[in-house]
Amino acid sequence: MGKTLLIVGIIYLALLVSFTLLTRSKDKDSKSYFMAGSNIGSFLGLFTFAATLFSTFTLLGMPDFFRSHGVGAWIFLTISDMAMVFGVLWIGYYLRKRTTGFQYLGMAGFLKHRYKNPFAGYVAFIGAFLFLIPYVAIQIRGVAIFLQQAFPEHDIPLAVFAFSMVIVMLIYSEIGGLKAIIYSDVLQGILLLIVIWIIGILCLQNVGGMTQMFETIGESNKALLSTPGPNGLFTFQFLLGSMVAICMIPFTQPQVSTRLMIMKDQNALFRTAIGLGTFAILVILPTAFIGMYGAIKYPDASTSEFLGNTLIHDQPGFLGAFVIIGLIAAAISTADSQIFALGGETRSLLSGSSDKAMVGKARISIVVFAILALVFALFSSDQLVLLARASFAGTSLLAPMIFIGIFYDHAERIKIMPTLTLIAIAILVASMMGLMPGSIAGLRLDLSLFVILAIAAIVSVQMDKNQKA
Amino acid sequence: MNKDFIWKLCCGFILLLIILTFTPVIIPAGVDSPYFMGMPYTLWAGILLSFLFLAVTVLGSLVHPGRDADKKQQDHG
Repeated sequence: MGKTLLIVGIIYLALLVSFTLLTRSKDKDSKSYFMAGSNIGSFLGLFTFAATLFSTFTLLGMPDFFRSHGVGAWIFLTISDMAMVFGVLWIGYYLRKRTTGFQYLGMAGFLKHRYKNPFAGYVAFIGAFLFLIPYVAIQIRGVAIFLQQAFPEHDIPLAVFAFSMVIVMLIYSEIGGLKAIIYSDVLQGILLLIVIWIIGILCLQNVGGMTQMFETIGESNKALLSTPGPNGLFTFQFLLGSMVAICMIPFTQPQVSTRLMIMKDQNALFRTAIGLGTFAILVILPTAFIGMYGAIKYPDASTSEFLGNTLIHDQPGFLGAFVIIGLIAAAISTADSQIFALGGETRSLLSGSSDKAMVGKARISIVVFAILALVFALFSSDQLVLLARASFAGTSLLAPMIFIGIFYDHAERIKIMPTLTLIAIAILVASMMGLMPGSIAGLRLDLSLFVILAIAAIVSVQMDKNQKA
Repeated sequence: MNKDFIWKLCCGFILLLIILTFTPVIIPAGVDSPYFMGMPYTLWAGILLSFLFLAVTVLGSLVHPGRDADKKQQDHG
């Protein structure tokens, strides 16, 4: 495997360098650097969207989720993603329409403009920052742990892997901007899809095919074959809360909303949405096979043992090399999109000085965010999927405030919304830190907060309309 | 049928599919049969449901009120 790994690794790095040189520009203005000129077609759009959404979380997290919690994982992610894709089609159009004549550089800046109040922008920024940094960190940590497991004989510390990934990510995104990230996303998206299908098919063959696989699981752990799963995770509330949180991602997670805005026209966005739905089904299905293979072969192994064995040691040497590079590419492409989007959010809040100076400040902020994510990666938990879900749930609290900004002509009159959103974020963070209970009267706190904010948004808008009528 | 009406039908159908997802029709507690192509019920029903979502999304994209909005804007501009 060593020789293949070296060759594939060199090819991957050479491609990254080429993308960076290809997209490098001396005059970096905000639109070209942070929004890739807002002229992206559906092919690039699909892969940059897909690579940003499906990453380490999919390749490492989902097989483990299927192995531990069973077939309900399909409902948890795929059905939620399919509903999200329709949301992209439906609400994405209105977001783009609302920004006509306004230079969109980030959701924080958009809300500052719509609410005519910098506080709304700061709340959006705080929400994105608080819940994205841990998400970036788990991407980096997930792959670093996996690499440790893949090379146990070398005893390389986790920090070395994490640091190397952050450095590569910073170099090419700082130099090439969003365009470099988009090109690397295409590479990563294709690599992810090919690698995951080859492993999925090999796993399926190894356990005797589909029928044999599920029969074997039925004998050893039947609860994996239905909801709520052996640990009772996939309850109605968990699945509904997950769907709500995932459906909000395109509007509440800045790395995704940026991708709605960089498309060259509405039709390109529509084609991207359809491609994304297809990609979701294609990329998640083999993770079910890999997870079920794990449930048979490694039912009691730790996450890292299961992944190391299933994705590397049980596979032919050349494939293991592709998995390692594919994973590194996946983690880097998602993490840099997130870090870069936080830089875009920073830029969208800045005003006053020259565009060049503001881009410069935002680029410095990208380095700061990357360092913070690196520190967090060294100390965070290993629960990849559940931490990702916490990130989706956290940012989804921004949705009611954002939707008022998109749909209501007089968002500036709904002054209460940013304050309420900030309070809800503070409550959720307190709950995640164990300072408050995770549920109220049997209702999950994240879902309850979202519902309260949604009701507050509807009531506030209605009252405003009545007052002005 | 005009496009606006079909678009509204698509939105309604998506809502229906979402509601269906959380009922015992798709996630019956502790039930793994009937099997299809070797797969337990919730998995194959979930896959089928995903394709239904995709089909409605494709149809929705063809009748979306904003389709060709950029072109129309350019024509008028």
